[in-house]
Amino acid sequence: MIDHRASPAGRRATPALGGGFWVKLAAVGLLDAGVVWLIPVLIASGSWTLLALLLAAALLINYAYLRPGAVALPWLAPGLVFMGLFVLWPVLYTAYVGLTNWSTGHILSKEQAIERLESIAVESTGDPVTLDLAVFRDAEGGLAFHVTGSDGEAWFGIPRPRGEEPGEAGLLEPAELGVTDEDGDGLPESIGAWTRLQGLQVIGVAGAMENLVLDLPGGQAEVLTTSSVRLVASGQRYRYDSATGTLLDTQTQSTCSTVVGAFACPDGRQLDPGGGRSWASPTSCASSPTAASAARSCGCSPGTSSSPWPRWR
Amino acid sequence: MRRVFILVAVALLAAAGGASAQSLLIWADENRATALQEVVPAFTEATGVEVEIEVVGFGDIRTQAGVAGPAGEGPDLFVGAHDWTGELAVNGLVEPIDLGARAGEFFEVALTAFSFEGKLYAVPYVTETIALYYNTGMAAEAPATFEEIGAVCAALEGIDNCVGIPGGGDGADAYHNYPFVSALGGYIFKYDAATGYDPGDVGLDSEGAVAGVAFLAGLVADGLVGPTNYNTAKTLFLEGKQPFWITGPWELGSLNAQDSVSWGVAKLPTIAGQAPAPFVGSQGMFMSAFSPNKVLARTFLLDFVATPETMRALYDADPRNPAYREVFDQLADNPVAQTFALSAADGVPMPNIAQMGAVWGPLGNALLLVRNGESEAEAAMKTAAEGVREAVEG
Repeated sequence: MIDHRASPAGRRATPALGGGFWVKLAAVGLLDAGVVWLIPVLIASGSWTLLALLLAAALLINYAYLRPGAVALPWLAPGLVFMGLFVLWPVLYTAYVGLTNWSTGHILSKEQAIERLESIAVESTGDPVTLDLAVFRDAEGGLAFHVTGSDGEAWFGIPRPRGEEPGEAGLLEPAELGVTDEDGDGLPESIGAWTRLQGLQVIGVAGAMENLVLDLPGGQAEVLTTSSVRLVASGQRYRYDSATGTLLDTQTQSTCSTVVGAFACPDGRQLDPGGGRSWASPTSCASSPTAASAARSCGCSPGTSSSPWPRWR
Repeated sequence: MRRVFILVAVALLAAAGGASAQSLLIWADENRATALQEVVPAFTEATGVEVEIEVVGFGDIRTQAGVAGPAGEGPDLFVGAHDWTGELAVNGLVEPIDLGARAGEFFEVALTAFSFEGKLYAVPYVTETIALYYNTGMAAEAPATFEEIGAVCAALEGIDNCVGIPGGGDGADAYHNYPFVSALGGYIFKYDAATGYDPGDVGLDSEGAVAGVAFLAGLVADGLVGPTNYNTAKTLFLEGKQPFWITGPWELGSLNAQDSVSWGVAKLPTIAGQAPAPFVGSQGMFMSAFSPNKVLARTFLLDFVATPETMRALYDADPRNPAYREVFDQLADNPVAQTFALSAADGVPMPNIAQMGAVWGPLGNALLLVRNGESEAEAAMKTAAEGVREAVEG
């Protein structure tokens, strides 16, 4: 590189601490502050590649704008940064993706796939039954559900989060608590300490109703909308055991084990994150007892990915 | 500095979770965003829930839902086509929707279109399929069979082509020629109501499929169906040089924009006495599996979108045939809507499994050869079936 410090152009480009220098210093300082702020964020999310690239870009910019003699670099630096971002990075990233199993059925992280699978209920054997829901609230904000079937039979009780075991509260007897039904439509305005929420009030607690279930004699009532529930045999079909890395299918009482990018079930099929099952290809890999290592060696999935699930950050 | 840090942190938290507590985000393409924009104020007024509609290109919705959803930045609901269903469901990106007893409010073909492995994944609002457009100056009545079509064309002079169907010349088009494959019992993948499509059972070289395509080859040999690609078929019809044209309601706009050709629309003519089953497409609203507001989103879908008022408003803003029965019943005096509905009633949903991607190429090319008179029906369909089997088995 030409040494610009010795050239007349170099002297012209670096006036001694003029106003422009302070503006430049402030701009670079602001940029560095942003970078410093991002470092703990990136460490927390484990994005080491991004962190390295960020630091490299920050160093380049600091060097380019603060080193007195660097004349061409300040002009080149923005272009270099953007070239890295829009040309170099996509090339590297595409190469990386090409070496993972990113494809239909393999786009979620393992945690997300487990979360999806654990949200699947065991369907009741007959047609799915939808029941009417009325939501009640007490003075402390506790919710209670009043569920009416198509034959007019009604239940009242305190729902529980779907992941928890059924507690002792469960169903209550409205008659013992005291029922007020002034308009006589069969749907009480209040039961004991609970008052029925109407119209906008129900929408207001929609967020709190996520993932609540009410245990009924015939199964569990899952919240569908603010005015309806669905009766399912049991709230959660799959349970993940993080100690063994296996997924228990409570409907068939079988255990599906982790293989590369999926859960392999004893029936020889793999569970996709949507809850469907498909035959693994080739089948011999998935049914191998040491599936995770076998899959790598026999080419079910590229072995370059250290994590058995694609990671997307 | 510390105060700034706290401010930034609070702002980030609010952006991440706070604002989403009582609001919904919907992704829709430009046309449908306009339609939704007109109806959602009623929901906001009734419930106090803000509904934000973001315009995303139709094709981009499919890919972006897979990226933004898992990252926690996706929509609660998004508009999409039924043939995305398989891919979205396998990827775990969409939540099943339980219509319960209300399923009867929709046309079954639309519900089937959005069902995958026995579960429904969207609330459908549009169904569309192809039908027969005819030049009323050349054919006073809509012909019911290809024999009648032949008679009409034989009596006419100065026409360039009799029936314009895309998929000839240089433009392979399996979609527009599928009625010939299906009319006599042919199929792509075997369908079972309980288990869905079986990609292991390819029926493109089944007896019915070959017979139907042989019928098409006969029409080509008789000179009734010429080697027209999409644009030739369209241009010839609009120039009055072709009495018949088979395509979908998406061309209603160009037909209404001209007045040199007076036209009517009818069900597809029967093929060897059988009503053909064209592909039926459907559009609907999916619910993201990553929505933080599922109860609210489902309430919006079932208690607001799946109502006669909203479905009617959507139809008025974007007049494609409704998948909702009650709105369709209101269109009793709209002959075009009625005809497309009759055609759809005969139709089959376009398979929504991911393996369909392996079908369009081989089937389109096989039918192109038949359309151009370059191949026998049986040989062409055998090649297509083998091509699909090979691709599906990977």
